[in-house]
Amino acid sequence: MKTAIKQILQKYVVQKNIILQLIRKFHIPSYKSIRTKIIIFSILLAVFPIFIMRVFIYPTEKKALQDALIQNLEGVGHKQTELILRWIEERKADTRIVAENPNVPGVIYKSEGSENFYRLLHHLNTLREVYGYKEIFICDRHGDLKVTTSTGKVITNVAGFEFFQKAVSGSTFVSDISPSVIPLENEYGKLELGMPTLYISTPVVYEHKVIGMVCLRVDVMEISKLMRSVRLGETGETYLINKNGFMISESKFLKDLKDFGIVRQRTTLELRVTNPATGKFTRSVESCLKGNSGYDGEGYIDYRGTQVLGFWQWIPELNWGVIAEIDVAEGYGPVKRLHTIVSSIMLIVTIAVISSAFFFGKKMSDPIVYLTEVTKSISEGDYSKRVKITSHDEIGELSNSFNKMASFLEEKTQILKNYTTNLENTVEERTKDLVRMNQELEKQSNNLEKAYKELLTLDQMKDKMIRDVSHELKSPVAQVQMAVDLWSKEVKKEYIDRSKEEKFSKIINDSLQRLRKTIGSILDLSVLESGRMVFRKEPIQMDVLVLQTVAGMRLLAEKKGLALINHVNQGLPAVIGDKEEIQRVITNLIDNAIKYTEKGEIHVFLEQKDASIEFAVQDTGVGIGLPKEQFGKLFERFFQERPRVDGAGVGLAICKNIIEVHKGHLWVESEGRGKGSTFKFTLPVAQQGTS
Amino acid sequence: MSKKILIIEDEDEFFFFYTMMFEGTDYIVNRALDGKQAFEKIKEDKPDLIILDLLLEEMTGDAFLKQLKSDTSYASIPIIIASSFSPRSYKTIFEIDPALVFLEKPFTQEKLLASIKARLG
Repeated sequence: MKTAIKQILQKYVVQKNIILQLIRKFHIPSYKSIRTKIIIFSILLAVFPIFIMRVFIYPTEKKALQDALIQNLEGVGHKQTELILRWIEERKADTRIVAENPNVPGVIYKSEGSENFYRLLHHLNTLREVYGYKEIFICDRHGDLKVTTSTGKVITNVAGFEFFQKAVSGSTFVSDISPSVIPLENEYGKLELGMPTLYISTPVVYEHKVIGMVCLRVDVMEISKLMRSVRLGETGETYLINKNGFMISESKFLKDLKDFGIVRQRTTLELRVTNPATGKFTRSVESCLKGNSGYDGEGYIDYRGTQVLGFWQWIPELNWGVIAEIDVAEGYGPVKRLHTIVSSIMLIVTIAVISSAFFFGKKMSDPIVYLTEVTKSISEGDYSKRVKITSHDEIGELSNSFNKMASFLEEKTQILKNYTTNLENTVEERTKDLVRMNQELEKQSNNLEKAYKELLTLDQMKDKMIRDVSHELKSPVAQVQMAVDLWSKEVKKEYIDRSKEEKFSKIINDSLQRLRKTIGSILDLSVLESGRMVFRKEPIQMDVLVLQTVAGMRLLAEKKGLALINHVNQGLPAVIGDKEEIQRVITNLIDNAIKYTEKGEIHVFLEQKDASIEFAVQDTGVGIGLPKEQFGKLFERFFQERPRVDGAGVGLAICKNIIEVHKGHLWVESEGRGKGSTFKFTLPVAQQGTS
Repeated sequence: MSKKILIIEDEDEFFFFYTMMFEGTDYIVNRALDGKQAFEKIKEDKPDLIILDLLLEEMTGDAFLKQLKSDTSYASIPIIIASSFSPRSYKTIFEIDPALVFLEKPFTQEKLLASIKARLG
C-alpha cells in the first residue's frame, strides 16, 4: 500500500516537473496567474463531463449493451441448435417413413424390374424432390444396393460404411459430414470427388428382422440455409463445426474467403476454424471442442482475423458445435458511434471552451496584468503612468479609481518632493547659518575669554598698581610719622640723645623729598595725559643738550663706580621742541641706567638716522625680566617690574608721553634679565621752514 | 630667657625705628635685608618671632612666608607683618598663615610690643 502511494506521488512529482519545464519552455504564464487560473478552470469545466462520460457512463452502457448482445447471441445459438436438432429429427423421421414403406421388403427380396420396385422408386423420387435430398437409396442386409434415386455413378455395396453398419445394427444413424468417396454433383452442377456428404440411415425391419437399410444422402447446403435462416445484423452469423474443428456449414463470408484463397469451393470441411494469425482454434471452437457452451462478450479473433463477440453450444448428440458470432465493431457499433459522436462534440466543445478560456482569460487578465504593471511602475516611483482602459465594467471602474489614485499620489508626491526640497534647502541654509553662527560664537567666546582674561589681568594689574603707588606714597608718610612719634618720646626722656636728632631730621627730610618727588611725578603725568600741558617749540641742538646733560650726571655715575661714555655725533640738525622737557627725558633715562647698573659702563649715543635724530642709553645693568612682547608695559604709568626699586613707576610713562608729544618714538631693547638694556628715542629733524 | 626676634627690613629708616622701639626691652633683635638672607640667619639661629616687611628686593614677603611655612621645622615660628600696605589690599597673605599679625606702618612702639607679647605670650 505504502509503496503504491509512494509510486503515485513520485509519478505526480515527475509529471509536475514536466509541466513546469513545459511552462518554462513555452513561456506560459506562471500557473499562479489569474489568466492561467481562468484557463485551467475553464478547461476543467469542459473536460469534466467528458471524463465523467468516459469513466462512468460509457463502461456502464457498454456493459448493458454487451449483456443484450450476448443474450441475443445466446438466443440465436439456442434457436439454431433446436432448429438443427429438429431438422435432423425430421430427416430421421423421413428415413423411417421410407423404411416402413410396405414395398421396401419386396424390393429388397426381389430384384429390379418388379412393379413394386417402380412404385417405390417413384415414391422415393417424389420424396427426394419434395424434401430436396440428394439421394435416397436402399440396401439389403449385405450392403448391396437395391434401389437408388441416383442416376449417376453409385456405390453398389456400402457394407464398409459406418452408416450401413449402424443401421443394420438396429438404430437410426446420422453420419458425420464427410467427403464423398465417389464423385458427386456439387452445388455448381459438376461432379466432384470428396463432396461433403451427410447420411442418415435406418434399418428396414421385416417380420422382426433387419433385412436391409434405408439411407438418405442429405444436401449439406440445406444445413447452411438453415444456419443462414436467422439474421444477425450485417456481420453476425451462425455456423456449425464438427468434432475436428472444421466448419460444416457455409460461411457468410464465403466470397471473401474464396477471394483470399482460404477456401476453394466452400467452407464446409474446407475451413478449419482457427485464428489466422496464430493458427490455433478460435476461442469459441476451442471451448466447443471441449464439449462446453459459453460466450465471450469482450471479443476474440475469429477465422477471418476479425474481433468478434460470440456464443457457442456443443451438441453432443451430433458431435457438432453451433457458434453464433457478430463483429465487435457492429455489436458495439451504436455505443462506439455514440461515443464517437459525443466525444467529437465534446472535443469541439472543449476546443471551443479552451479557445474561449484563453481568449476570455487573456481578456479578463490582460487589464489586471496591465494594471499590475502600471502599479509596479508607480511603486517604483514613476507616478506619471496612467491606465488606459475605457470599458464600462468593473475593470473600467477600477481603472478610473486607479487613475484617480495615481493622480492623487503624483500630486501629493510632488508636493512632498517640493516640500522636502524646500526643507532640505532650508535645513542646509539653517545648518550653514548655524555653523557660521557657531563659529562666530566660538570666536566671540574666545575673544570674550581673551578679553575677560585681559580684563582680569588688567584688573589685577590695576589693583597691584594702586597698591604699589599707595605704598610709595604711604611709606615716606609712615617714616615721617614714626620719626615724629619716636622723637617726641625721645624728647620726653631725661637724657636726650642729640645724635639721634640729626638722624630723625634726615629721615624726615628724605621722606618728604621722596614724597614730594613722587607726588610731583604723578601730577606731571596727569597733566601730561590730560593734554593741558603747554610745550615750547624751539629749535634744540640735541648734541649740545646731550653733552651738557651727560656732563651733569657723570658725577652720579662715578659715585657708583660706573663709566659714562659719550658717543655723540657733532653738528647734527636741530629738532623742534621743549628743550627742558627733552632734557628731563634724557636725564630720566641716564638716571635709570645708573640706578639699575651695579658695575660696568653706560654708553650714550646720538646720531642721525634718515630724518630723525636717535638717542640711546646702553647699560650693562639688570636688564628686563619681561618677555619682549610685554616691553611696552614698562612705559605704562605706575608699572613697576620690581616695586621696591622702581619708585612710583611713572618716570618712563612721562618720558614716553613727552617724546610722543614731540612726534617721536620711545622704546627699549634688552636680551633679558641681567643682560643690560638699551633705551632709545627718536625725534624728527626740524623742517627747513620751521627751524 | 630673652626671646630672639628676626626683623626682615630693607629700609634703613625703618630698621632704625625698630632699634629705637626695642631699646630697653630684653628682646634680642637681629636683622636681615631680604628673604634669602633671612633663611640663612634662621638656619644659623632659629628666632622666636619674625617681623617681616612685604616689599623686599630679592624675595617678596609672601614668597618668603610660603617657603617658611612649607618647612616643618620653621612653620611654627610666629610671624608679624609690618608693611605700608593696608591689610585689606593684602588679604591673600592670611591664606598662607591665618595666625599672623598684620602691623600697618606707621605703628607705635606700644602697638609693636603688644603684638609681639601677644604672639610670644
